[in-house]
Amino acid sequence: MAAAAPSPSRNRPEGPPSEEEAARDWAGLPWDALLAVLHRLDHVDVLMGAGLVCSPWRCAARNEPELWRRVEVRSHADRPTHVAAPSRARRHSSAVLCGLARAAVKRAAGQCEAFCGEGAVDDSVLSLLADVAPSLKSLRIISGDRIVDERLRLTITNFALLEELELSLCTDVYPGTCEAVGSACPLLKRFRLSKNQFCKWNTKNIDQEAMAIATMGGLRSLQLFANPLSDDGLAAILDGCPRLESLDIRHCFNVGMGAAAIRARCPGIETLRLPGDSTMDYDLKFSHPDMTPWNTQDEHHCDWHELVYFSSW
Amino acid sequence: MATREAGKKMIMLKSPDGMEFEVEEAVAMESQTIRKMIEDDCADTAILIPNINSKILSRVIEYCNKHVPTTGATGAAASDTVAPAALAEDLKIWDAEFIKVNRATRFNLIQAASYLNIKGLLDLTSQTTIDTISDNSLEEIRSFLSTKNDYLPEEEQTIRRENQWAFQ
Repeated sequence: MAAAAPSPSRNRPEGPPSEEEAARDWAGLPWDALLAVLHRLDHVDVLMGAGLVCSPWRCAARNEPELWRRVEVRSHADRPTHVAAPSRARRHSSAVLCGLARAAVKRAAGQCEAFCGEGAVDDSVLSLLADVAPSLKSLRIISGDRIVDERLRLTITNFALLEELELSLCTDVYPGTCEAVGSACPLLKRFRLSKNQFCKWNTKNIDQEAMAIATMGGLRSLQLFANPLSDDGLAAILDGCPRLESLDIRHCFNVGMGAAAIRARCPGIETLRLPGDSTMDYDLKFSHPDMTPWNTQDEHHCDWHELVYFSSW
Repeated sequence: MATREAGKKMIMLKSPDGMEFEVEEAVAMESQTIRKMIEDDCADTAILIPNINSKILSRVIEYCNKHVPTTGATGAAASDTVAPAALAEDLKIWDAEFIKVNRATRFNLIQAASYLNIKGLLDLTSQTTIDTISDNSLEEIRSFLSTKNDYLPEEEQTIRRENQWAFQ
């Protein structure tokens, strides 16, 4: 220990605390310290537990919009198990999580700048955001099962200040939304559209999303995981988004263009992840690619695929 | 009352129970609150730290002593011989030992870290609390925090209505 160490620390009393100390009520934590604790908690935990335990904690959790400037409501159910084990608080239905998301957005009192919902976004959450969070800069939707392009393309135009957008593990295809973003969100810099599984047999309109993404001229960072786009779609993106610095097209197995050709077309790219690159550091769940080509399946088999797909709606 | 010892500027910190602690200025400046006082020239005499008793203050100083960046003549020589990664690992182990305290002490340390604005100490002290609060039921959290359900019956009704998901 340094020469200037305080001498009283050597005499620090050890042993059990006095009864008075042990019974200390945490409701009396000063406001700043309380906020420091609440700030470090997951929003689901604040809404479900810490923000309800007693009046002072509830008051802090309700009346401090700063706590809700960046809302994150995640189920973590879709993380690989090594990243986060599903725990008790996460086993909530989508309806409950959407309720939590709406409560969190309301508490931000118009100051919400970033929203991330995993299994916690439906149309009601999106329309609330459109109403009360006009200054939203980051919108991340993960596992949005009920988010359809037809409606999202209309809502998304409310977020003119958007700089980051993510649509991961959402079940629809989003050409309309991408096109709307291209014209309504001129500040967009980061876009992520990550799917669960690449399917080789899917050969219809494979470049529809890519062609719309090509209209997002200010993009710096783009991740398209397991997207069916072809070289044509990729070429359109590289031409349309000349300021790209980071491009991740892992599991986009219809792309044949190599690193040299990609960089030649868009010289600003510093970080490049190609279709076959390692997924060791990938943060969401995904399925093994279905590489069965269309022409090895008979027509009847393909109809069966489509039948199953559409009958699930 | 700032004095010099071995070429280092010293600062006197006083707890409300009358104890005085002489610490290096660099150590005291781990606290953003004290740093501001020193920079604003409010620290000519001893600095009184209100609401933090000598037991807690001595622990806070112990933390700052450990975490102050090792610079200057002797410090530079020491950090040359130890790899940064090993140093960080050593600090982590030290932190883990440091935070093995009862809940009342942790409460006081959070309060002190918040008042004195020492980010690292606030992170360390609140993390254990957060680990305990996360994923626990309301009653479990209340018991951990030694706090009581202080709502009036009608308040409780409103809260249940507003937060029905938490009571399912």
